[in-house]
Amino acid sequence: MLTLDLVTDSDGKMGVYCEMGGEATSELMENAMKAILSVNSTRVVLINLIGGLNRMDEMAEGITSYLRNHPTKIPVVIRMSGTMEEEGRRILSAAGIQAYDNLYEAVEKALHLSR
Amino acid sequence: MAILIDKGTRVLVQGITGKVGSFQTQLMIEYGTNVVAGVTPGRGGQVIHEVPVFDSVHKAVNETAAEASICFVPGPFAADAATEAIDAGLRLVVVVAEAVPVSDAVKMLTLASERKVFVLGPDTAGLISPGRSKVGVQPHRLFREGPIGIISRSGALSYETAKTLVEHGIGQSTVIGLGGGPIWGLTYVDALRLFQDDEDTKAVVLLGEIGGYMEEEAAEYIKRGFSKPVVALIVGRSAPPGQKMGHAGAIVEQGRGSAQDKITALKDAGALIARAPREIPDLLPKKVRT
Repeated sequence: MLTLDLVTDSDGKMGVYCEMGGEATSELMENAMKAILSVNSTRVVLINLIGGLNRMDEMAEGITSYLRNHPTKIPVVIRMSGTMEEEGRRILSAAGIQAYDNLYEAVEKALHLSR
Repeated sequence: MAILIDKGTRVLVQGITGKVGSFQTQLMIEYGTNVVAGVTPGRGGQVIHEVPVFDSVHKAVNETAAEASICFVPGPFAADAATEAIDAGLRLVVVVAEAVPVSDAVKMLTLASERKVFVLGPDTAGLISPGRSKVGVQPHRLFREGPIGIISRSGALSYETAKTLVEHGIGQSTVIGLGGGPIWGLTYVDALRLFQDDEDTKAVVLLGEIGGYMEEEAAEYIKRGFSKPVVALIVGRSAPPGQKMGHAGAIVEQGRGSAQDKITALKDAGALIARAPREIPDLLPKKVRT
């Protein structure tokens, strides 16, 4: 919900919003991306991950698996921090994806790309 | 000392043989938590991460004198498991599971209040006293020991806030996750009471969100004479009314529980209001910024 407030505070408009909850699996992440990218008006996908119970390696698997099977021109901006972050970043960078550590930088980047 | 847990606290893990329970136990042990026992019915006699597993909480308590439990048993069975821990005489029970049926949770919490047992959750990240112990699932690298108490319904928001504070050189005494709701064991008021008496806590960050009226009750309590500085952040300012925002308890219903109501009440009680975690360090009193 913080992410939603930050986007709104910067005059951005959230089209679709999805909370992952705890114990999210890579399949759930993949399904969340599918749901969000199935909305035609989506211009940028912002993924804010700060994991305790959720493992960043699982989240990275879900993201890279989705993008491998459904290449898209829509930019995906990722912020990743927390449990198993190193492994998560390794999986992302093997797929050519860099993730932000700082939430505000990620939000700014997503807003910039949406304009 | 910090509140609720300290370095020596003897911790029991319910559901220790499950995938999540086992992984999180390993992280707690790495952090230095004194995990003395695990419980999984039917798995008694096994050993996992060098921790003995018992068939029941009663047996584990008899053998290991465990004082606190963290319960990784999934939603439909979580309240039963937690009730066993409450009944066995533990003084703190952390219920991690989401989607615990409300009727089960009410029964569990009623017994806990009769027995004067602290319950965190359901749907909580638990608690961490940085440098001492962690009975929770927090990514502990983001935390550091220091003078700030944090109380949050959301686990993620507490991680984000601790990370920001640490980036500004400010550590935490204890960080408590109350859980996603719609009902809670420990409340903001309970946690504020504990922080009031804790010498290591010099100021409190209260992280709230839309739904319910726990934050409003906290505001009343602060107004009646909580003596430490409070900085509050309420998320969900831009959430549409009537929409459940991830947490079962995060919903503005019938005009109640809006972010603005909570912000107004807390401001009126003397709390300083932040709009995002990055505004919090400057709102904390200078003397606590180590």
